[in-house]
Amino acid sequence: MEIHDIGSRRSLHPETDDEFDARLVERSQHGDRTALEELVRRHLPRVRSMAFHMLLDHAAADDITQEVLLRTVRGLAQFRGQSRFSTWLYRITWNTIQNQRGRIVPVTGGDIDWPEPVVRECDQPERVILQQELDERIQQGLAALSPRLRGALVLTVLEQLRPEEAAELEGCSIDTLHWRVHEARRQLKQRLAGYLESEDATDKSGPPSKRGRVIHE
Amino acid sequence: MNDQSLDNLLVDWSRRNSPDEAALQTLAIRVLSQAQVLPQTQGDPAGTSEPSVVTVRVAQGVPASSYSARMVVTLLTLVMVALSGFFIAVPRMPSVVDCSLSQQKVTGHETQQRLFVELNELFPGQWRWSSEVNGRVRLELAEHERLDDAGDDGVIVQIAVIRRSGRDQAWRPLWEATVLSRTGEWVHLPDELTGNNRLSVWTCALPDGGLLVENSVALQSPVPVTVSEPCVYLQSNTACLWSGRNSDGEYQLIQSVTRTGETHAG
Repeated sequence: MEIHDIGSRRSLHPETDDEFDARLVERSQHGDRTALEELVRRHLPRVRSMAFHMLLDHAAADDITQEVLLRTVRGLAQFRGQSRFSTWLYRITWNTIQNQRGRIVPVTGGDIDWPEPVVRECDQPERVILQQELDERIQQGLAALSPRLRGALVLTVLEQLRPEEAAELEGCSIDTLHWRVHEARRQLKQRLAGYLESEDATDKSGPPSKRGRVIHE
Repeated sequence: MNDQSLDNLLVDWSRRNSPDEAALQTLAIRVLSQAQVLPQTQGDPAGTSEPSVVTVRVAQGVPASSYSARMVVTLLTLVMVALSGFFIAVPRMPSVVDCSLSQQKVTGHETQQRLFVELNELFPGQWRWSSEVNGRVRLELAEHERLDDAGDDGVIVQIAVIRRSGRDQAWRPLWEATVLSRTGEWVHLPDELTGNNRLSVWTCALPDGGLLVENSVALQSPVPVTVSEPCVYLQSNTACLWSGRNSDGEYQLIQSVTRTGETHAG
């Protein structure tokens, strides 16, 4: 079985994902470079996503992704399959992000070459501008959260991990995780109040959003 | 205003800021190209307990007196290096227009060669890299003995921002960083050393004798510039990574790479 779509991480059944990961890991441990490449390509988007959501810096996210995956490759011989490969990898990712975060200064100004955000489904110039402004406000809001609050929000809302998985990565109880998500949402709502009101108004005329697993209080 | 609306905003923001498939493929290629030359180790799986940055540690089993004496020698060497002017040596001007490689070499590498030998003897299997940024020196050691993820050859990478106020003026260094490491070592300079600037360097010895140098430079001062560019050096050389101009003059970000084994010939 070959999977070439590196962006399909959420489209497969979890059990199938795990079984497929296990096969790739076993083949990789026996020197199958194709399996190793598949393993890297398969999990790279998720690692990169977690890194960017926490660091809010594209260049830093790329660096961390690279470091995490190389560490994973180097340590693959030690993986015994006692946990899911994805759990092991995300633990490495989370730890690496925590270790690196203190050394990285998120950049919010215009001095550095930031990649232009991709704006889709927007034809009207004023809407593009508003969306860019909203993106900046969201990013500022996330940056203003404490690392623990941001981590809880990122893992549950953006990475859509199960509460027990997120709590394990955060090193806290599920109750504490719920509280952190609640508090993170509260603080973000304050910062994005104007945008949320307009979003609510827009949502009333549109279909309900389908976002998968999300913790709601 | 409800949780779902906020979550929708966040998810949409995330989607808009996600790299496209081509960017992910490029990143995957970067990782895989490096993974090709990194054997799997039997050591501690990275990430869970691998140390990130540690300060100087005493290797177990080394007698204290021996350690102290050798430490003094190494620190003296570090001071000599700092005083020798090596760290403020600036290579001659690389090409301004096309950023092509110049034929100039940085001087002072004999001292770095000695330092490389000393550090390897003092911290066998543990020394990872040393670096100097604008006069501040950092020594990086692994908590455990090095496994096989780095080669035995040493490499010196110098990155500097230089400026001249006019075409008839000399180039002056504004900011400099020097990294001494083994090939294959991945060096992330910590904030304590670089302040608001960020610098990572990774080198890889190629089968044809060349040296692949991949850096990630994000400076906020003395000039805001971000560069992340792999470059293959067939011999020790200096390259211009970026050039710019403002009312104060012309700026260049230059990178000089030298293998420690080549310093005898230089």
